[in-house]
Amino acid sequence: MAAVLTDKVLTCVSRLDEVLLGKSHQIRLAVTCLLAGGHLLIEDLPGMGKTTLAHALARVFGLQDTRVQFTSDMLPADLLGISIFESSTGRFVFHPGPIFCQLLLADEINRTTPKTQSALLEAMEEGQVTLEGMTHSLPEPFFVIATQNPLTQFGTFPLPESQLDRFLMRIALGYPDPASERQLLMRGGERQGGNISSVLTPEELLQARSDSQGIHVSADLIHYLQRLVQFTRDSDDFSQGVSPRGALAVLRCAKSWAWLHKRHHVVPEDIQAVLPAVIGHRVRRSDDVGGQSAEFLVEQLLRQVDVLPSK
Amino acid sequence: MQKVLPEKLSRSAVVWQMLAFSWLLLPHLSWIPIWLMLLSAFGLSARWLIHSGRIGFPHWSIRLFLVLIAAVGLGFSFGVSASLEAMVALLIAGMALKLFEVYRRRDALVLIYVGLFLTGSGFLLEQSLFMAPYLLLSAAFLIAALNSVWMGADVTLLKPLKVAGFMLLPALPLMLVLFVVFPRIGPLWSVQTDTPVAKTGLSDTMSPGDVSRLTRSGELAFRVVFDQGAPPPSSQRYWRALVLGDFDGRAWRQSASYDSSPEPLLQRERFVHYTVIQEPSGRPWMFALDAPVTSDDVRMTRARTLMAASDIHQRRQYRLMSALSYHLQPELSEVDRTRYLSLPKSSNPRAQALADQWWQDVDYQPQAFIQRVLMEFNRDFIYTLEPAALGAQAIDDFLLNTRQGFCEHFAGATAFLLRHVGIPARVVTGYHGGEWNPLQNYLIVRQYDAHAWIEVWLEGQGWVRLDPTEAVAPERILQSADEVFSGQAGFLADRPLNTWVSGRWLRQLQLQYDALNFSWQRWVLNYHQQQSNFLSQWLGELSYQKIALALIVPFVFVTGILSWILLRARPMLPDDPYRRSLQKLLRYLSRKGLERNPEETIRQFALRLLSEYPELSSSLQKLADVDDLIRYAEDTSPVQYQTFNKAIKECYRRAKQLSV
Repeated sequence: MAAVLTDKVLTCVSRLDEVLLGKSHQIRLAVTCLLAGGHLLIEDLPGMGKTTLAHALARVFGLQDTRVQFTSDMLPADLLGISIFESSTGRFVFHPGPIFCQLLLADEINRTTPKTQSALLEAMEEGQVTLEGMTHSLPEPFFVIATQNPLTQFGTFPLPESQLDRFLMRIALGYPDPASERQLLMRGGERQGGNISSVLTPEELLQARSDSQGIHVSADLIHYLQRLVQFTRDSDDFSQGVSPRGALAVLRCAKSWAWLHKRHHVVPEDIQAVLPAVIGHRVRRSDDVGGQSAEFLVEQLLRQVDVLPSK
Repeated sequence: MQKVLPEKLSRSAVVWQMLAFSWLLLPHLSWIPIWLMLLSAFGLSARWLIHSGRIGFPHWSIRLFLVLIAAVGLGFSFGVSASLEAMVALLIAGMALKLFEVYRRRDALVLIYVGLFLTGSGFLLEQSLFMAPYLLLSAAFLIAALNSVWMGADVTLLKPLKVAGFMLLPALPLMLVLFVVFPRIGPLWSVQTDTPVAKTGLSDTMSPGDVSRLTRSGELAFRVVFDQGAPPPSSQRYWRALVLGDFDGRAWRQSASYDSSPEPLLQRERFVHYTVIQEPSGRPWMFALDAPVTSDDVRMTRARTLMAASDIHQRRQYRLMSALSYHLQPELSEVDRTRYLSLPKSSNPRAQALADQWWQDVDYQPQAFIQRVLMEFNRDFIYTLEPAALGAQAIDDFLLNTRQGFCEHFAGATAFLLRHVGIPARVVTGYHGGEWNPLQNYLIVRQYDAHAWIEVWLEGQGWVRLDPTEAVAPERILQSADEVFSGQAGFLADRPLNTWVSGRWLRQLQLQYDALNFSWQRWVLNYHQQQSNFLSQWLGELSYQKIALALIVPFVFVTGILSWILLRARPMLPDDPYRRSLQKLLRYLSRKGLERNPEETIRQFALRLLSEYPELSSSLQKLADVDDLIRYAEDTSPVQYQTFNKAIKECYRRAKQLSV
């Protein structure tokens, strides 16, 4: 049963590969993030395929998706919904906003004001929306895929660290390799996202999520993770270490990654594969203000912590 | 990071090779033929140009041509004899030629090993105080060159030297132990090491001008250490070297046939024990304070002078005992009396007439005659380093015409006069005085301290020392030679700069330098002569076991400390036996040049090796599979451990087949 489910998810992955060419590692990371039940932040320049990926993800996993383009004049109500007085019934009726969906594509999240950003992030964390004393549950599963432009661009409100932490992973897509780009150009740029069919039902996705979190984790592996985390806390290069929440996030993602690769236990390669995406936005170099060097920093971290225990 | 080293040499390696070669070459520049200098310079510049890519490696024909040049040059400069110089020149030529073709590591190793030989040969040419640290440095440079060969391409320039320093540091105490304790074995073969350079020193004849010629040289003759510390007073410091008994009208010579036993020395008093450290003189005679009583292992001639078995070409150290007060040969045999009275009949007639006249004047009293002669000298004669030239009848000329001379003139003339009137007399040559070095308490005797005096035989007293120089220039006997002569032309004329240090502190500096040099010669170069004494002071009665222990214990100690330091830096092996065997395998592989990077799991490591070592890689992957199961799936069934052990063994087998 589990193997069948894995195969189905892998089919999703290969479908996504066809849509977004030459980005299989990022696609696997994104799928892993969904399997781990976390929200995904895609950070890249405009036109790199962020939206394409988000759309395609929603389609293959059979999720009902909504896309919201964040702008600077957007208000929290535009996202969450609003209670409107209905004269016929003489009552306030809640009109749910676009957030009430299974997969919210929050485009260019750093273009909107911190107020709207925190409304979204609160909903992400709680899984519910509270308005005027009324609590409205969000659907299950509920994913947010947010995209953001690099902070150096004009007219952006950078997300504070505490809010970045709400995202399980942050990935960057980057330019395609020459072969993929040639294929893309030959195809003429027509969108592939529209005509892919769903492979998984939301129920199966929830099942896959619980399956993947049940994977075996050995003491040695926990030890390796602890050594990595401890290194970020001890080293002078890091302005702050990885929090216990961050460590848990790494473990969740590593489990999903292992499940995706049909393993019954987590191996260090799984941690190494997800680590840059999971803690890249949670750490910062002590001498770095812009937060641009995280990837390099995580690479250093991996290089300096021995996989095999020394004792 | 690819750990397998590139065969091509790094810049640092090339620089160190060139530096080491130049450093080694420097002390030899004084004697190697000009073609060898050119070849070496050519080799060095070619090495640099090749390394920086400005020229390619020379064609084999060019290299062959260079080899022929070197062969012809060696044959031309040194002939077919296998002299020491020829051997060292051969090594230098070999190194210079090798510089043209150093490309791979192996070539560099040849160069460096030849360099180590050359380092040792430096001592064959000179053993001064400066040579030892110089050659120690050259060993450090060579080891730095050796390090840089193995250190890969991105090594900095100074790191190899630093590492060489750290490597040589623990070797220093071992060097001292070897030096002090290791038994000196006589050479298995000996090489003629002296260079036929004329040495200044006393000769076995004395004619006017011979001794004064020596004052042109400030060269060291010998040094003396007295057992009681202080030396005898200057007036007693007559260093006897030769007794010249035969006169041919101009020159005094050693008498040909002496009895084997020394002349008897009676009523000996005021003994002095001392050690003489003599510089190589190229002559067999040795120096003893007047008059030597016993000598440890040196032959004493009939006239109580010391004579080595062969010419002295190396610094030599000997212990002696002398009596300052004595009666030498109170009974003179007829043969000896005849010998010490004989004069060529026709020589120096005017001097003979003068002697007859004085003999008459003093009423035929020997003592009075001697006084008369000395008084004449004191009154009318001049003591000078550069007397006027003498004619064929030298003593006539000296006594009646020039009336100026150096000690050999006075000694020779006095002996002549005494013999003529029937008093047995002979000339003694040697050194007088010497400079006391209070820093190390020893006496320095230089060539300019050379002196000649006479011995006269008196009834009831035997041979009595008589120094005519004392009569004409008493300051010569009371002061040191350099104080007396320093103003005179001709003194130290052969010194390169012809300046005698007169300033007080310069003088002090010179004494200090000489003291340092003396300690070096005495305690280091001549250590072999004192080794057994020195060791028995430390170890008590010597035995092979004790010497072996004294050698082994420090070695064990140093290697123990070293291995403790090295092992401490090394991470501990895990307690778990299976993790332990895995770590051991990884260490083994890293010694083979295949090192796992910390972030690599065994599988990733295996995949990295896939293209270069496919078989090892597949074994490692098998190991990774089972390791994953044990470590991460925590499958602890016995069968997994069996598979694991099998996989480890297979990895070892594959790794052994590698030639890295």
